[in-house]
Amino acid sequence: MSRFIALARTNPSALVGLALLLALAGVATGAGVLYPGDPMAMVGPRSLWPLRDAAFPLGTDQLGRDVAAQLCHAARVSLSIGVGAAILATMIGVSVGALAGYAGGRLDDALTRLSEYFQTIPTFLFSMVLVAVLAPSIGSVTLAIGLTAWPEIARLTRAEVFRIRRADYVLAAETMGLGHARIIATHILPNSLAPVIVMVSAVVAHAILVEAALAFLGLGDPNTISWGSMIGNARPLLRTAWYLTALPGLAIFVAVMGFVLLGGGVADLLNPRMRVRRTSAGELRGGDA
Amino acid sequence: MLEIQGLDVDYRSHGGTVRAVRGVDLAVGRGETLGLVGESGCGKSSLARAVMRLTDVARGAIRIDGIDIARLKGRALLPYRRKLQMVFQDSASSLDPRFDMTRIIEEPLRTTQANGAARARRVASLMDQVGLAASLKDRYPHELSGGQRQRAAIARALACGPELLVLDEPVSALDVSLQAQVLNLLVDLQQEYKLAYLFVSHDIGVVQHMADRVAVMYLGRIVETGTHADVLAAPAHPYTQALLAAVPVISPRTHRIANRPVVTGELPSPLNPPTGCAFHPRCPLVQARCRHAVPQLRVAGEGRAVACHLHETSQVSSLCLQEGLVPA
Repeated sequence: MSRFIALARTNPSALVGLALLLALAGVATGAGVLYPGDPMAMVGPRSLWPLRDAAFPLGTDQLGRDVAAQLCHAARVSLSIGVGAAILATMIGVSVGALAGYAGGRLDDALTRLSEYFQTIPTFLFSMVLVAVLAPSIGSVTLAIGLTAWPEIARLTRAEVFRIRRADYVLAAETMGLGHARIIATHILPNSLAPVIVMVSAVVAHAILVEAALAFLGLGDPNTISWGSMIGNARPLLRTAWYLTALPGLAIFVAVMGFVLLGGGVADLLNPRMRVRRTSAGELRGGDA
Repeated sequence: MLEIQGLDVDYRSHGGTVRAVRGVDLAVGRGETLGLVGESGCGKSSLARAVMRLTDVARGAIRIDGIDIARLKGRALLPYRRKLQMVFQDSASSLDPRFDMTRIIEEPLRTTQANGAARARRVASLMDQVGLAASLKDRYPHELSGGQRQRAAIARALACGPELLVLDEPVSALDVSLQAQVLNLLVDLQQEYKLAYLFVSHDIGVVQHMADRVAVMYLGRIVETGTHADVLAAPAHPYTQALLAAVPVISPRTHRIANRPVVTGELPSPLNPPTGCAFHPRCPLVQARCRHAVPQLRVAGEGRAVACHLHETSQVSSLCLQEGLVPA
């Protein structure tokens, strides 16, 4: 907790990011309570501008559906796909990168070639093909984004692990007879993951953008609503009812900014030198009394 | 207890193979300190790392109590790992920055001692033995001084009850005032536990303080070995003489460090070592055959060996006198 307060003092932008994400997460989880009905139901007059009617604070779309209800329900889909894809990409990327960086030699060569091969594929086209082949659903979109985002994480993890692998404290652990798995888990990963975690938050942001782009092109789950599909649906009305694209666009912007800002703060939080020493905290408390 | 025979360590690089250690024979007895001296880049750290099995051994044997561990791997190596422990030069990089003192020192105990309370007692007694206050037990490495960190590294090395410590420049990164304290700690620990030390240093002055026997290394080879008294009082190899002459001696009348003839030039590249005796391009006493014939390490008196062509005919001392390399 003391570390958290120290972070808030030294890194206010991370706190802003955290606040944005907590607000979005609150909206996403509370969507069912705030707007219990089907967000796709036609409930009001068509194309009502925001702030004209208290019942529909963010207006309605061309079919008379509540924009606020759509945004809240879409947050669930966009955030869960973003986070899910980032978790998948991190699991693949960290495993591949850690193995390559620790083992070195031929295994490293093979795994590095594999991630380079994935990087040469145009990632957006690859995602589109995957979603089209697997039929659009939340699961297939998550898989498609996760499978294209891991090589970046693998490369960064490999470089960090490769560096830490040669540190004297890892050699010392080897001379104590500790096993490889234990050395990787206790020494190498904790010391190499800080930049990776920063990148993971960028991957979440990227995944939200890719999901929006896929949904915009009609490759989203047809049974659910996401920010991207809202923008896609409102595209023909861009000149007459621009708020229908601007509002989900703003939601995407807030989510992406939230993850990017938080990423920078987490890196500081994981730095052992940022730790507030317990004894000095005790001295401070003593001084206050 | 440690016996090294014909040890070669090679590194492959883009420029070719570097033969960092070439045909080294050494032995360290129980409770004995062997000082390994040489310039940076002469292969002494490679030798230390090979003994710890942190680098691959190209050829030769490393025997612990008669058993060759040079090619043992994984589980087979484990019991010998615990007999040998190492203290690294830079304590800032040899301790994990995310571990506090307790975790650092108890780490080697985790595999053998499952009882947490027993481990905590052992950590407390180790910290006491190396002179670390108990109040430091939850400090992180960056919150400690260099001397305290090196003491923690020594405590960690002692934790699994080793018989030999490889000390790779253990005091080179410390202030002079701390060097003496840490060296005295090492002497005390050696007497208490009958530890053997392989003490690697570029500083012949520090080795003087510690070693029973001294081995001088030049470009991957041992050029002279002998008891500490013999080697320091009557160095036989021109390189040893040069190293001793390079120890700064302040002359009270001149205010400047006495300017004695020392070796000139750089250590040659181990990628492309000189032919014959590796020291010949820098040797003040170089002769024709030094340029093509590699001198063998030959016994030269009780517990003493020298690799120098001149020494075979014992011309070296008289030549040195003429050249003014050693005081008459």
